Parts: sequence; C-alpha cells; structure tokens
Amino acid sequence: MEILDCFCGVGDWATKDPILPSRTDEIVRLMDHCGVAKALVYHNAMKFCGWAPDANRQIVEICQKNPRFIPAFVMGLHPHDGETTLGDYLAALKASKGKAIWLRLPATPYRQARSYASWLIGDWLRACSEKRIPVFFHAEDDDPTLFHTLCSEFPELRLILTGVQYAGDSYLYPLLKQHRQLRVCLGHMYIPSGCPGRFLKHFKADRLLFGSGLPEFSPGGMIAHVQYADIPDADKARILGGNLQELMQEVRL
Amino acid sequence: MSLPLIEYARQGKTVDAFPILDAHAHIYHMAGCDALPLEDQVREMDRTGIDVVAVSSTLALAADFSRGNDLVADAARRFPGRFLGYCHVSAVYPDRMLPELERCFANPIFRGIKVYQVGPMYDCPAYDSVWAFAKAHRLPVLAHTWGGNMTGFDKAAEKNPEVNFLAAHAGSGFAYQPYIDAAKRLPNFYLDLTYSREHTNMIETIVDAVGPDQIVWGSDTPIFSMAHQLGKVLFARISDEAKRKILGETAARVFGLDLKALAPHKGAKA
Repeated sequence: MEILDCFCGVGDWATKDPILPSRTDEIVRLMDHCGVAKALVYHNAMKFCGWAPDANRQIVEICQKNPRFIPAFVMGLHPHDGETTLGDYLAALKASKGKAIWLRLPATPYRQARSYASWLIGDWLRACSEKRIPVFFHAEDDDPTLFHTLCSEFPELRLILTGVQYAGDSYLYPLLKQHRQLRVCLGHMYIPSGCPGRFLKHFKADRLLFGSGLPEFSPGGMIAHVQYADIPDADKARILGGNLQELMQEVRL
Repeated sequence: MSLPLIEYARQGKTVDAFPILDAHAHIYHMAGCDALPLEDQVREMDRTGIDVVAVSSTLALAADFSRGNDLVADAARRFPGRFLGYCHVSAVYPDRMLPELERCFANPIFRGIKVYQVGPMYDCPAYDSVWAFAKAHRLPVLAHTWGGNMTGFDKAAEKNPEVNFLAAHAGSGFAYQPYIDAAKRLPNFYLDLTYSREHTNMIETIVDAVGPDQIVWGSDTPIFSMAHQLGKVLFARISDEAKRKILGETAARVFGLDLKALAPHKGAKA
C-alpha cells in the first residue's frame, strides 16, 4: 500500500523550534524513514504572517523540484484593485496541478479569513464544491457549529478537519452522521482509544485520512495507529493513502 | 536475524521480540473519552505486544480515589498478570492519603503510587507522608506534570533521593528542556514519554540528552491510542537497544520487577 500524507507543511517559518525540520530534504528524510510515499503540502510561511500569493508561489516551486510533493494552496482574501482574485487562485492551482486548499492552517495566530461565514468566503466554498477541491480546516480550537454551518450551506464541499482531538468524538460523530462529505484527518491528534476500529463501526473508511501534521509532528505513531488496528487491510490502505488519492483524482479544475 | 523494531510498527506486527511494560495507563472513562471495555483493551495489548500495563483509574483522578483504586484491583483480578496497580491519592484530602495507601498496598497487585497535579504542590508538607510511605515500601511515584511545570515534583525528588519519581508527559506543550534539565540534575527523576502528541525529533532529543536508562514509556490508554503511543517509540530514530529500555527494561527496574517473569513467552534480554 502507498502511504500518502494529506497534512504536511514545508519551508521556513519564523516561530520554528530549533529541533523541528523545515527544509524539503529534512521532510523527505522523515517521509523515507516512515515509509510515506508522497505528501500534499502547504507552505509553512503562512503560519506566521506570510502572504498567501507568495506562499503559494513558493510551494509550487518546491513541488516542481520534488515530485513527492503535491501543492495545496492557502486561501487569501484581497479586496484591493489589481490584487489576486479567486479566479487567479484557481488558475494557478490548476497550472501547478495543485489538489487542495487550506481555509485555516494549524499552529498559527493568523487566520486566513476573519470569518468563515458564507457572506465572506461563499464564492470560495461554491467554487471548491463545484470543482471538487478538497478543503482543509484546522479544527483545534473552533466551535463545531462552524463546521456544521459550512457543511449545511455547502453540502457538496469536501471538508477535511485536521487537529481534531482524541476527545472529539462527542461532536465529531454527530457531524459526520449529518454531513456525508465531511471527513476527518488523523493528524494531529485524532487518536481516541480503539480508533480506527471503533470509528469504522459507525462510518466507512472513506471518512478517515492519514495526515501527519509534519513538520511539527512525526508520522510514525499515526501510521502505527492504523497498522495495528483490528480492521481489514483494504480499509487500512484507504485510510493511509487511498482516500486522498481518490479525492485528488476527482478534482475538476 | 531479528527484525528491526521499526518494522513491527510499519507492518502492524505484534512485538514479540521482548517484553513491553506500559508504565502509565488508566482504566475507566474520562470527560470526553469513553473507555473501551476492558476486554477490548486487553485485546489491543495482545495485538500490539504490550504485556503488562501499570494502571490507575480515572475515577480516582476525578476525586473518588478509593472507588477508583478498587476498580484497579478488580481489573488485575479479572486479567491476571496483565495489570499492575497504581494507588492514587490526593493531597486535597490529606487525612485520607495514608489510610488509602495502607489499604491498597495490602493487595500485592499495587506496585506504585499515582498523584495528580491538582491542589497542593508536590513538594508541600501534605505529601511528606506519601514520600515516606514510598521510601519505606520501595515504591515508585508517578505524577502528572504538564508543559515543563513540575509543580514541585522535582523538588520532592531532590528531597527524597531514595524514591524513584516518574514525571509523566515529559515534553508536553513542546517544553522538553525543563524535563531534560531536571532529569540530568536528579538521578531518581525519570521521564515518562506518555503524551498525546508526537513532536518531531523530541523523543530523539530527550533520549540523546538523558539516556534510555532514565526514560519510561506509557500509553495513557484508554484516553488515547495504545498503538499510536507505541508507534512513536518504535519509529523514533534511536537505537533498538534504547527502544527496549524505554519500552520495558527501565520501568521494570524502577518497579523492581523481573521482565522475563512478566512475559515468559518472549525472548527477554538478560
């Protein structure tokens, strides 16, 4: 089975701890060590006051130099004349063979939008729904009502939550039951005891995606979490890479 | 030739090469975390290759420590040889601590003391009787710590050099340096790697600084996944010898246990 990481950042950022990796060769070495074939990557500069068009240009350059990386763009809102439009973002995503958009990144005090309500980013969410672009959102400190609202208003939006905590089942299960296009990434740290076996008693394996949270978090434990699960090998393969592969193939830019 | 330990985790293969002693886990539910039935918890131990788990009850953590400690005794009775008990006491109820220790340690399944980071600091006089009990009975003490704030646990270790102190969640909040500093200063201060997150390069950094003879491992199950926590160590870029120590040998020494006797079906190192 081919392991694909849906949740990975590369490149330098200002608030990095000295022991964390940032360079592409460091990330690739970790991927090799853990047996990860490819990663869908955003640029780490967005974690600390980076500017989305520049971060996206950088991630395209990085991915062009390393075929194991697939670009994921970060959303940016630009109200001034002459600035990057949504159409420009989508055209650049298509040109670079990018396969996803991040609405909110992890580990950042900066939000990609001041609000995620449809009056502000509805055109983005409509476009992602129509073009089947997977949309990532780091859920760690947000009210689950936000995800319920997003999924209710945009039922075809392929929303993937990262940063769901091990104690998140109490809101996650009701959300997943109500919204069939909602998915959850294991990283970092949706690791409740008994998951993914327990999860699969309620939902199909296509709702779970492996993502490490690199560079802050290593992939190893999460891979073991899936590989040791008491579930069929076919489901392990879906979670560890098949689901992401399918989502990326379905993008219609 | 034996398999490199990382391969067990890559393949989801039961670790059969050496005994694994989980030094920090729980039984019972916790806010937001519905525990697996104990039978399923034991099945996960079997699947991963974890032989023995030292547990305290989250019910004790929530305040009802006598009833929680009873649940621990019951788990050990139901699954002989698979669970060791921590007797949980709280300095919020200082008059109940010593009687509870005496009550629990009449049962040989209890092998350690657990305290939690609520109420008085660990170095306050209310805990003196607990450390004296630990010293008299040669028991290790496991304490919840968080984010590099030892809340007096390192000071208690300094004052009681004959007692082994296990600082849980070493490196939590990505604060690894205070834990390293305390362990380097105090030979009876052990770092417990139990922690939900897997910060890149942190296990390697801690092992490099402190050495595996002063590091123990725990899963914290059923709060989170046993396999994830085991995988963190199996995938770490440290030697297999260090992994064996962290996953069992160091804890066995701290608990005064014979690893071979814990898992006679496995090829324990001498």
